[in-house]
Amino acid sequence: MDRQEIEAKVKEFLIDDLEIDEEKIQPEARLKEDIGIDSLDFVDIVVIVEKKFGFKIKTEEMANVKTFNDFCDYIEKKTA
Amino acid sequence: MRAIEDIALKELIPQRPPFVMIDRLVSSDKVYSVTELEVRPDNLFVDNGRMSAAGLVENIAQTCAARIGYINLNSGETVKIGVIGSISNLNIARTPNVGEHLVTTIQLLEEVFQVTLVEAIVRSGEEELARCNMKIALTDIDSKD
Repeated sequence: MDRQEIEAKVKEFLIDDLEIDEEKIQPEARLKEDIGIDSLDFVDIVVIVEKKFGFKIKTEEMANVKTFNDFCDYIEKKTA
Repeated sequence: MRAIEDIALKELIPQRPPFVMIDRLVSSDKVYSVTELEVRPDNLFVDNGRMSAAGLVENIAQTCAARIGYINLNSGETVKIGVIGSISNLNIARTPNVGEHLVTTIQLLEEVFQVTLVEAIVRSGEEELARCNMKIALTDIDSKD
């Protein structure tokens, strides 16, 4: 899966499953402050990522994941 | 580890009568927990002989509470209070009548930080009455505070 596909899939589930407004999803948007993802959403993200990308997010690996781009980088590394 | 049958319900959940919506925790393992409830005429959520949808949701929430209570007790911790974070995909096929025996099963889907996501199904006999996904956020508040 290439980077573009990853970004498209992440964007798609943020919009469809977490009901995030599309305009909030920008490359440097911060997941918490700008996009509005909270700890309740994060549980869904863990489930969705496992289903769509085939790996389980480890919470300790998310410490440095702050923005939409960071999150896509993280998925890219895990699925490489 | 204490056996489920040796633990009084009031040790497992913070709710007290008349707001108790489960009769007992039947089983609980890493994935599934099961409770039972007989719908009685004096149940707070019963009106005109039927339990409301809100009563079914509370029954599911208290099943989650019993699971958390059981885990806390068996790890030597005090029982913590959990609050409903969200409910999704709620489907109520039918609300139960007085006298029906409900069996509620929750399946753990994910647990991240202090938030638990479960899929819950309430059955009466073989009939599925309700199902939903529920998120419970665990607080640091002891149930006895």
